Amino acid sequence: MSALLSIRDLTVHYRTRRGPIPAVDRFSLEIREGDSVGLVGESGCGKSTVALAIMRYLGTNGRVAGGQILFRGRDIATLSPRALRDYRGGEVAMVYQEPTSALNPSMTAGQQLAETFRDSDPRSVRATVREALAEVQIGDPERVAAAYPHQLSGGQQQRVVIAMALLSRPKLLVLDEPTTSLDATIEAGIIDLVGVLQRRHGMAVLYVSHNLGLIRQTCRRLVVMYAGQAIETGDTERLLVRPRHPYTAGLLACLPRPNSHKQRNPLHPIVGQLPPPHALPPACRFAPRCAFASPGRCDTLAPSLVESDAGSVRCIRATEIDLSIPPPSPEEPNYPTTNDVVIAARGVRKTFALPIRGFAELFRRRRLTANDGVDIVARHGETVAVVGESGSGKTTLARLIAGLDTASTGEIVVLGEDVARTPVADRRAALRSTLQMVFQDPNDTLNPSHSVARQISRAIRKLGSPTLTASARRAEVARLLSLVRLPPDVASRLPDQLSGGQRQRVSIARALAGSPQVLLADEPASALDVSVQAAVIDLLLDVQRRAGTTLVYISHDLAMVRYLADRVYVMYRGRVVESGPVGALFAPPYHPYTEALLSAIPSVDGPSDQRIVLSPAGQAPGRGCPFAPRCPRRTGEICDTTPPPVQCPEGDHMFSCHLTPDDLGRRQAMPSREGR
Amino acid sequence: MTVNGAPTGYDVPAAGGLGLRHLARSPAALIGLAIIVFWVIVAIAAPWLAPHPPNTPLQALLPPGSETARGAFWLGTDQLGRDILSRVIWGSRRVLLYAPLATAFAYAIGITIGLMAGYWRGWIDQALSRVSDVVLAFPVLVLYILIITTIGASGLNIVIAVVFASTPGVMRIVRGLTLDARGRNYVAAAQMRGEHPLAIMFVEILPNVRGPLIVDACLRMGYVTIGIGVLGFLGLGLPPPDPDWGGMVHEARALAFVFPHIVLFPCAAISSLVLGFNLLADGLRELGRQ
Repeated sequence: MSALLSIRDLTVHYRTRRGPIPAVDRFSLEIREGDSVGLVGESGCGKSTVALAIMRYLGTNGRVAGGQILFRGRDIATLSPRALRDYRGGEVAMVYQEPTSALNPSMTAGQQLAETFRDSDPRSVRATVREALAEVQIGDPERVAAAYPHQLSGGQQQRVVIAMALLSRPKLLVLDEPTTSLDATIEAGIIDLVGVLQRRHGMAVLYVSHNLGLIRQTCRRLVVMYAGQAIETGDTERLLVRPRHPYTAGLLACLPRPNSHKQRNPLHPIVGQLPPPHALPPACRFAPRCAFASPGRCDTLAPSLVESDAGSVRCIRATEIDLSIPPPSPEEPNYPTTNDVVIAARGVRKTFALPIRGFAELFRRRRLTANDGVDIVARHGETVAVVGESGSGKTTLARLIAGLDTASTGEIVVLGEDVARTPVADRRAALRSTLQMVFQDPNDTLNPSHSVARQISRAIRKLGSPTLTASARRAEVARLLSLVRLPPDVASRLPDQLSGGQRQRVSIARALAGSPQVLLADEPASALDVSVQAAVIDLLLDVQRRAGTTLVYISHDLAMVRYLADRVYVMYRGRVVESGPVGALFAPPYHPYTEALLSAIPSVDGPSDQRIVLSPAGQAPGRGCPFAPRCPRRTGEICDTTPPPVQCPEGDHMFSCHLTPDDLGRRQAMPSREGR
Repeated sequence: MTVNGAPTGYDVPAAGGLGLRHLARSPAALIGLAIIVFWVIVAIAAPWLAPHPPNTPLQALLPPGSETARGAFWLGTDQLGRDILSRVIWGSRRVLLYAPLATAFAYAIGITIGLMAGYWRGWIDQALSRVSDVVLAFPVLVLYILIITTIGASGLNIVIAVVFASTPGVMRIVRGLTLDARGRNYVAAAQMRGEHPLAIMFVEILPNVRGPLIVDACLRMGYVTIGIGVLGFLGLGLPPPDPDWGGMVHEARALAFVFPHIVLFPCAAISSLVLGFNLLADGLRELGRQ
């Protein structure tokens, strides 16, 4: 097969006020017709810049400083404006990360698709649009074509974007993190769709992603980037099973594996952080963070990409180091737990009044039920995970426990005190110190206007010891920073001057100021890169080990939950549909929803051919089971009309379903995907 | 911007740190600032800069550039024989005293009630917002005239009129920004550690909304300058004889066609100062976007 696209020694610079900074450094890549290639790396490694360079779309401050990109032997830098237009869209199409901003909010999906054929006969255009939407497996093309983007779910929007990209039958489809903003069950559907379309049209696909599990399912070949350079390439299976570059191995060690648990296998975060592009290490760019770096060699000799049968690798020690042996774990982790119940919530219900629409609603406000009779228990020293898709009510539950919102009915007993209707401002100071929260978004968890020291000392004064002298408080700030493994000079910085991972550590340090017994963590690592994510999780577990802290971990990342949780609650539409110890929950029998969630986990190892793809959540639940409209195991009328009974197969494992554990235990024959 | 030699990644903090070095990147902001600084220096140095006493009749209706035995009259004299240059110079003092003073008061009140409305929402927000809607429904000029004719023309009353008319606008902006900021996690974190609501408003939220507020303050200074000028022109400004740019135009309006220089120079003075404020506001807004 001939090369469809070949990138040769591509170097891209971005112009900034500080002078040009290199974003991509002599990057080479060859994509053949019909090939699927994955480009992975953490944020800032230059992978999106490569994607944009392929589109010749670097913006006003980006410049190709060297090398060339050949499409079927033609250098795309030489294309005339007209030829460039035909090239973009016609030969190569791109799907961006955020479908909401890729679609025009003031046009219907159908109009946007029809734009491509402005000059054709309207009737045939309409038929083409319908076909295009049906091709991306949209169930109701007529309705979707007539809908504005805001009336579509995230998954549907992304399907429309893909349909648009495919209209002109491109030879190469570039997908830049196409599913990062979507729920796992929806993500699985999009990934499958791209695979189907690729095979049907024989397109080549370049997948840009930070998610190694996802890449594994879609790509035959992988390129791993670090600090603007390709550091390892090769067949996906080989590269994920036997990585040859320490960075690739490090990335894999950051991921929780299906059979690992915090008790047995600690995660191994990569130390340090990505060097900024204007201060790159002189020789090997990974050397300062590399556990295998040999002084005198790795910091003086710049490695080049060495080709071999198994792919290429940029490491001078690639042949002499053994990456298969994981670094020894420091000590046998021991998590002290007792049976004391720290949080006990019973029948928690929270409704929000919706905005008034129309006269009748003045008297009967429509209400949204975010939590609908939730029971949850957390014991001392335990990690309790609450999982579910976005909109399942898990964050609302956390906010109710925290007192940031108050429950409509039900009780939330924290350390023997019912606080369901006590907002945090009215709670006892001691209770506030005891129960702290770590928030999701590292970008707004810290106040951008105040220094780290100021924010932590404020927390010390309010949660810990209000009477400390200024110097004692400074010492306490330094102690808390060292607890979260940050150097003391971070204290004087503003949040803007910290990376996402550092900010999240500061926010943990702030929560620890009053030595809390309970930490509520609302997706504390979901916005972070894998290596940083591992470090933050590691840190939370470290805190838990030392202080016997109860961790309530809110997440949609089931792989991580399986790794760190002791007990798990699965929420769907404001209700707990299944709960139990992590071992029981992650083994059959499952609630059908849990089963779907589990099957959607993109994994870097183990078979993953069978996935349950759920239709997007749509209809409001009736009186019956809230999951019935999407349930692949729906038995019949009873699911829609009768609330499912709570069943208890063993111990404290329970779920609500009309099917018996025996029914559910028998693995249903799932529709297998089209051959890989 | 670096701290401890470490790169920050952002040259303009999102919250809007607006130092002089940032201003240097916007020509509009620099020119605006230069004009404002020019008038501030003129106002401060008026006693030394003004060639003649501002209120003494010397020789009536001299054209600009006249040389007499009593000295040069570069901008001419008015119908009462007062030196126009000296009056423009002294007049800058008034506008540069009252415009910032009134704006500052409007901001102090507007920020406070805007923060409360945005943070607490509910009926407090409803009440404050409806009242401000009522005030905003009146044309500013009508409000000025109504207030001044009711309570009389004096420096204090001008400040009161301006504060009354501008506060609702400030409040609306602050309220909108606060509604956005109160959903941030750092606000939730402050609530979690039991901060007093007022501390959350003024310590956590206010510093993060200051960027747009600074831009708005500059624009508003321009409007207030015009407002004070208009009040003077309508004869509702500060009582004579002390010079006041709007008042100078008012006194000479009957002669404007025959002796345009009498009205031209005070008008130019008002325009240039307003232009300065607007340029600075535009420049700051642009810098904030970068």
